[in-house]
Amino acid sequence: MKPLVILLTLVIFAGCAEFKNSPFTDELKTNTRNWNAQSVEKIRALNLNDTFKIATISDTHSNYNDLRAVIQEINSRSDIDFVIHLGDFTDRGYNFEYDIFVDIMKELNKPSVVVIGNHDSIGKGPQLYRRVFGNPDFAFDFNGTKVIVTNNNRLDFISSWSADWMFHEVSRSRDFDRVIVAHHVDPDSTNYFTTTQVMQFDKLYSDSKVNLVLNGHQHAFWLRAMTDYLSLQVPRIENRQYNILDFEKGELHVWYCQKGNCQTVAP
Amino acid sequence: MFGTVKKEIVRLWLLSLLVLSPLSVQAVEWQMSLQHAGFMGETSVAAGFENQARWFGMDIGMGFSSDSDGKSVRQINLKTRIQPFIWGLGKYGELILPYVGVQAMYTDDTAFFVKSGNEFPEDEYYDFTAIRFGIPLGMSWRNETWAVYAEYVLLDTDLIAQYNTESALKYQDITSASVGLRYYF
Repeated sequence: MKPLVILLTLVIFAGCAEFKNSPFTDELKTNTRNWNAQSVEKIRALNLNDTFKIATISDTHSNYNDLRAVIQEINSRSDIDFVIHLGDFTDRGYNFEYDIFVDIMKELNKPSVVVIGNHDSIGKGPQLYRRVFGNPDFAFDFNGTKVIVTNNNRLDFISSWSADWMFHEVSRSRDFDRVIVAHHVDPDSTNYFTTTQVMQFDKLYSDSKVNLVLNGHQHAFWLRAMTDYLSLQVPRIENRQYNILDFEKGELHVWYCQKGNCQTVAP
Repeated sequence: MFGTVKKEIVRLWLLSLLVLSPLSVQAVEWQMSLQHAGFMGETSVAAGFENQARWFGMDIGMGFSSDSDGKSVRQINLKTRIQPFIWGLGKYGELILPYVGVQAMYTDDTAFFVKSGNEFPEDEYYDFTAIRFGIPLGMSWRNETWAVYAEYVLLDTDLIAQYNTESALKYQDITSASVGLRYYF
């Protein structure tokens, strides 16, 4: 009898948590795949015109409380159409961090596209990102607006990274009324890019009718009017910070939100 | 197989083993173990010992898992445990419940690193990712030659996240169960 009780106790004990093999693999608990492609389909199905709102969040790392709180705020607003997460949703790119993030993001009741950040690119991060979210370089459009999402974590992909795809995609977007480029690293970061690359990015955005360039990475909110485009650095989510891009008949108003209060800001 | 930094870590682990061995210099009970999960690999094998009074045990070994493309992922594991409660069950052996320990997992997979690569502005651009630590809380039943055990393991990073978020995470998300079999020589 006693061995049976002991065996039963062991089974119950072990059964209260999942078996996780290793933090060093690309093994996932979540079955979620092609997150971005599915979100893009949902965004297209909204049939947005030139009046729409995008919430932008970034650098959530392990600030899960703030992420959940911002998700609740966004969920409570019927005027926000979709969400862009500008990357760094993990601290170290481990498989279990991807699982936790996806689990929380499923609470969002709007479509969301997720950019890969440099922290999400550590270790098996690149494989994990592809498995959950899909190709890190993608673009979508709806009624005159084009959104280009790209992986610009150059240092983390030092042997394979190239800006060719982004250059090509931006260059062939001149016919759109609005072009938004979203990547994680600030394109004028001299830590991440050579001086030549920084100049090339600025020239590309200026010459190609890009309206808005979004990045995270630096954790601080910063809205700048560049020569021919607007640059928005989305703050980290700590203290429930995020931005809202409010397009009203094509005209952009940027909102900065913190702890539940939102105010319009100008560059 | 190992770079300079990795060699240092292996040396550190071996040193730990040597430093702690005198604890049981009078007589030790040597053992081999086979474990599933608990962040130590899909399958991990280890060799170790328990001191004569059996309040302390240590294992060092290797864990094996695989990526989604089938590529094998190896890790080196070191686990210690403190077993203050041993309950006799007469002819049915004994129950060691609960015990607690510390485990370290290290991979030589080059995707992870102890210091950031040369491409980054500084060595500590990122925290090291090739080593993780865990706290196993376990129970085991053993007779003279065999033991079976089950553990909950909490990872260091998850513990920190749980603290920072005031327990916002579900425990099943941040713990792993493990089961194992131990043979005493």
